[in-house]
Amino acid sequence: MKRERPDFTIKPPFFSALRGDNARGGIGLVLLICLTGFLAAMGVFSGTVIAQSPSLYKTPDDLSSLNLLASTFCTAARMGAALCCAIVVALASAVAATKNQYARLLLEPTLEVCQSVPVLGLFFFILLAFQASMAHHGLSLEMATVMTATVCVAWRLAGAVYRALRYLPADLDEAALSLRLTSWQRLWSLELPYVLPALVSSLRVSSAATWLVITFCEGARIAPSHGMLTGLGAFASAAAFHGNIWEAVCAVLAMGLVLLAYDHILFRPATAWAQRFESVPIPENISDPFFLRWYRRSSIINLLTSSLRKVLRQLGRLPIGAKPSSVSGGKSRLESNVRRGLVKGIFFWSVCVVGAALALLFCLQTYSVAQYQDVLLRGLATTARTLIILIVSSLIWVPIGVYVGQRRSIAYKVARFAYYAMAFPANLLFPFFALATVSHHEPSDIWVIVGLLISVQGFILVSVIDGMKYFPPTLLEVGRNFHVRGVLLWRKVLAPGILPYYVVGLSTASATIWNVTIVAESMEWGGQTTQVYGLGAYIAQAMRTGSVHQVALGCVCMTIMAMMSNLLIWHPTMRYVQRTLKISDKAL
Amino acid sequence: MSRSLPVSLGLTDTVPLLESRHIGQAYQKESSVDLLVLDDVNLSIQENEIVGLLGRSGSGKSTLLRILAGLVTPTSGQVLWKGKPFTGPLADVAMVFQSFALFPWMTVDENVGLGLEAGTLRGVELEQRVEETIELVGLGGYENAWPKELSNGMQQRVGLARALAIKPSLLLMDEPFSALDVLTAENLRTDLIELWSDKRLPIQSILLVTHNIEEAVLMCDRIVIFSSNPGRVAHVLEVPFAHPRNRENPEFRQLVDHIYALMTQRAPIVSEADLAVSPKISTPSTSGLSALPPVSITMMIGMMEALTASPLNGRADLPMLAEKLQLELDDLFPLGESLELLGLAELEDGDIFLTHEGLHFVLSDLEERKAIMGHALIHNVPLVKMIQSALDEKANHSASASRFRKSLEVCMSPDYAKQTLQTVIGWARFAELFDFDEETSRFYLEDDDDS
Repeated sequence: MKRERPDFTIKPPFFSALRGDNARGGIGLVLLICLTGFLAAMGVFSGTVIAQSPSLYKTPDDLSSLNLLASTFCTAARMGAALCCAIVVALASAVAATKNQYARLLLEPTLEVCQSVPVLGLFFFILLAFQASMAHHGLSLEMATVMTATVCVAWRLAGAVYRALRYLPADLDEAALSLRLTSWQRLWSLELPYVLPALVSSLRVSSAATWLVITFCEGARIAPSHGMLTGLGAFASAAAFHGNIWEAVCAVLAMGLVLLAYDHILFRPATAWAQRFESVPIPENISDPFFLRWYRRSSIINLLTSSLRKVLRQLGRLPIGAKPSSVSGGKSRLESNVRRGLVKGIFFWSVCVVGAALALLFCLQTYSVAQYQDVLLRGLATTARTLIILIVSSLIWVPIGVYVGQRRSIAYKVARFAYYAMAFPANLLFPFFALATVSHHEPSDIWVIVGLLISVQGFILVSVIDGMKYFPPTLLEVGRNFHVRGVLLWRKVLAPGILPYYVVGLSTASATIWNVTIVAESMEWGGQTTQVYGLGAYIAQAMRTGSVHQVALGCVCMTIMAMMSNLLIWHPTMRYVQRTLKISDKAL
Repeated sequence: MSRSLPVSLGLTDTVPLLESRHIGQAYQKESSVDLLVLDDVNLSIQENEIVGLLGRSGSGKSTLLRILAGLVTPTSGQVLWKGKPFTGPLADVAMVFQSFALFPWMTVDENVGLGLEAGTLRGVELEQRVEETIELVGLGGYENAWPKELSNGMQQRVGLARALAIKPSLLLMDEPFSALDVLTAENLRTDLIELWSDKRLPIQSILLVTHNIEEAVLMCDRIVIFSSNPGRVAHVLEVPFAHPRNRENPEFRQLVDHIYALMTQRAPIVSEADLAVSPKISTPSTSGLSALPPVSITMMIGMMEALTASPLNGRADLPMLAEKLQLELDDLFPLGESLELLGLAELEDGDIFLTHEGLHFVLSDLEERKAIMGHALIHNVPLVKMIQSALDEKANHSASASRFRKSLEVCMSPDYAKQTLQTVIGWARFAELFDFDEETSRFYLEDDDDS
């Protein structure tokens, strides 16, 4: 008996690209990896002595328009490189994880940790590692920048691809089996095409978070680096250092152009193109973006893509790998599963215990109680700040989002604007806030909050618009039909409808905000730094002076706090909201 | 009721194309007892015949098809292809799926050619073969279309072409018409049979899995009727009519009626527990818990009311009722069996008729109906009784669903257990016996008496 009732499965399509729901990886494993990572970092770097004092720091003073052009190009190119690397890494790890249970065991908690690690802090360690292994300073800085950006994109992509692969339709799987495709042929004709839409949409979203990382890395004034790369982040940083307002504005404008260009030339055509890989046509089918049409018309691009397609097709049809064999339902599997589970359990727990013991030993030896206290208090201050920001931005953007979302004609445009707001690296704007603080002697706290607000508001707005977009129109009509208005409308109709999306947006914003505090809590203008009391400022200061231990402590503390808020607040809330507001009877 | 049935068709000496010997498939469970899905299935497919596997959903016929296709290895028994055992999908067997299973990122052309490219065919030969097959199934002109641009019927034609393109000896079809609307399905069936009769299909035999009795009689030369839980071959029937067949032909109708009668003969209420005991008699298992189909109260009432109404007067021929109520076999049987379980109706020889209780139910008002249903539930559904007494015993009149789910899972798969609980919740809510809180996943009594 087919169920006639429509099932409004609430699965925010936009944000599912951003976040994983694999909390089941478990606190234990997650903490283990976090701690061992922490240990490994200490083991490698505690010997590294950073002799450089921040005053020796070279700041580029070429603020010519030619340099601006070069900077723009470099920043864009770095993003391109990071995206390419990330795609390869993500596909490889996700495919490996679906085929191999050990890879899966590794990937799920890694994604969980990546979600909470402040990438900007990670940059410090990646840079140290590259400098330790490479003589050329400029190259190591370059590599470290691209790698940090890659990490930032790759974990999101890997999560999206991995999740998509888990829902590979069983009938297509069987069709591939019965057509006797080899594992290689299967990868190219089934798995890769199937994940493509998820990959592309995730690419667009995760690049949004990555611009901040790239510009930060370029312009970072941190101890291990002796100079800056050519790039918009460095340009803006230099402009701020020299106090040139016009150049700082130019950097902002150039960044906006890069964002627009990436979106129009790459992401939007790719998204529209990837729709053909979806099994169901997307109802909201807006005409193809201009550039996609242009690509289709252009003969050179056509020649390129058609030959590429041919090559890929030939490549994908190579009979590499084994022909499929049937799935065994044998009895012996049960016993071996039990034994394997036992071995896995023993291995897992012993690694856990050793890791925890080592971590404890290290922590006791390295840090004093006062340091812990300091970091904890700063962490609480930052937590309070993030809460304020989430509340304030919700108060502003939820009503706007709902208003906009109901008008579908403008919703699309506003959503795109919100995407730019989300993608724009707020750190390029921070010098202006620093200027305001320095010149008008206003309390810097307010400007820090404004800065953070700017960097996360996009998430809230996009999530609410998204929620309204997928709100069943008939339910809104019912509301109108029964004259449900005002508070009742909000309480009974709108709020439950958008809540699942809003909560996901909120949690994404909170995950992002931790990272941004590192830039936002200490802003610079004309050589002056305005600092507020918080964990972000602590990490930023430690990075500037090159105190490895302090950076590590700050980063781990931030990671744990972010993870705790995930485990204790966001995951349960999301599960609760999705369970209660899902209209379905499959509850048991 | 397993019979060894390599039915010969006068070709006694020839090795059958595909033969299954004592196939058993068990569902893996943590507890010591495995649940059987298929039990001792013997089946053979000769050259030049269309064999229909007819059974209810959940009778394991799709599993059997996957075993025969080499997609799944059976827990016990052996599958022979032209007399030789094999593992893994065969190059000489192609499959058509219920859901079409077309790759959405490939055009019609590419979809049809995929099986060939996985093989050895390349270049012009490949293109020619694809072209031929596309023409054969009547898809000419659609070569460059994307699957999502096509109607369901056209999509299934692509699925058929993909299977035919590799020129398999045996075509396996897994309920190929059940996702199509009535007209489209009929159109595709007719076309397929026409191609078959004209010997234009590059295949030797077809194995068709279906739950539609008329479809089986319309298309097949031989019908293998499957009983449920576990799946066993219950009957094998020859269909003596020549193609094209006429549905209105009295002999055709008679055969359909006969199959209905066979399938209602011993009314197996879905009960996976039976299998553990004896393959022959459907004795209630030790706990007496049996799986319940997803049948809602409103459907049962609707059915009883339709039965009571004037032309039927309490008794109806099942094929006729199916047509009248526009129900498929898969919907009609669980419905009839649920009514039988509750003692409101009885199934006999392809007929269904209301019992005294059932008649009384229809004639009563809502309050009385609830009372009758409550009574029927407590007396005829052991699970309801179990929950009821558990709730009565507890001081707070509430009990966690997980404990009942666990006792169900002793004798059925988790999916069935889940579905059974859902059905029971629906029924008990109607009868106002007890309620269920989805949030906490607990059963509880509505508080009005404190006994």
